[in-house]
Amino acid sequence: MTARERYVRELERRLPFALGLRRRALAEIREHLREGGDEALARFGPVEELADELARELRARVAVRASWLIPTLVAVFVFPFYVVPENTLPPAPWDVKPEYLAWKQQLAAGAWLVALAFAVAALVVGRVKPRLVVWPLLGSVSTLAVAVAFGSIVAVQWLDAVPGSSAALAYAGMAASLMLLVVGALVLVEAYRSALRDCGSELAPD
Amino acid sequence: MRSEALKGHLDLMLLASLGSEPAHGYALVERLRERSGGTFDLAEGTVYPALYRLERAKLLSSRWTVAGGRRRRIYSLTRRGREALVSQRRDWVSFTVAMRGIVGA
Repeated sequence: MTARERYVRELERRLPFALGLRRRALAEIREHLREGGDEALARFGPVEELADELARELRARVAVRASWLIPTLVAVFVFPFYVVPENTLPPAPWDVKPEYLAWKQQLAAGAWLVALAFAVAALVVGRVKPRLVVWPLLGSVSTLAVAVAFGSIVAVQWLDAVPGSSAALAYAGMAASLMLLVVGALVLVEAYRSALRDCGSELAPD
Repeated sequence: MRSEALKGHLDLMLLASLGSEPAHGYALVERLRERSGGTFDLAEGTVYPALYRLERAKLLSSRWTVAGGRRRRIYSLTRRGREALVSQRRDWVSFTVAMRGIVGA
């Protein structure tokens, strides 16, 4: 391994993941060192100093990135919650939806709408005051979790209640929803960690 | 000139360097060295946090390009960046005139 590659590896070790922003920084620096050779490496500065400065900047950008990533995820839920079932499930055999299904379905839809409202708030806060964006994001992901939980229960009960419903499709939808939710939670954790480490953050513990 | 002394002026130097034409990180460092006649001894890595900060402030925009098999991130001034450059240049001229009056060089 060359000295340049060692430098980049050490930098990578010291930088936060930052929702993929680290990869961009490393790609730029690797290309810079490739172009400038060992002379550029000698002039590049101590790796720990660069890592500190870059990490601060990357963390500041995480909030902005999270502020549109999570709203995008929430918006995508319109597919497993509405578009896919509406276009694939057989017609329901009842005139009035059974109460045990109706309230759960309404709760799931309501929770998703609240998650969407929080997501829109996050979009705005992310542009105005990025440091505070974790709060609407937290609200969005939590209410989305409620929506996914009740949506999944409805999906399972629907299979029993409506003959001809595709179990494979229902379980695939549940798996996709759960995966999206986990991604949202991971983005939230990264944004929260970045906010905590950001000096002077209103989230920082005393 | 030492790296620490230059850090306070780095934003203006980067904006001014990109004022003429867009460039990637390495080309920017080379441009700064050339224009300063080799006087500025800048730690090259420090340009990246500064570029990211300026981009976050929407003074710069950037995009990946591929040329000759090399993938580079090219930075250019935004409209807001051009306005900031004009304003910071004006401040810099006032500052140097005032300093010259005091220091007497």
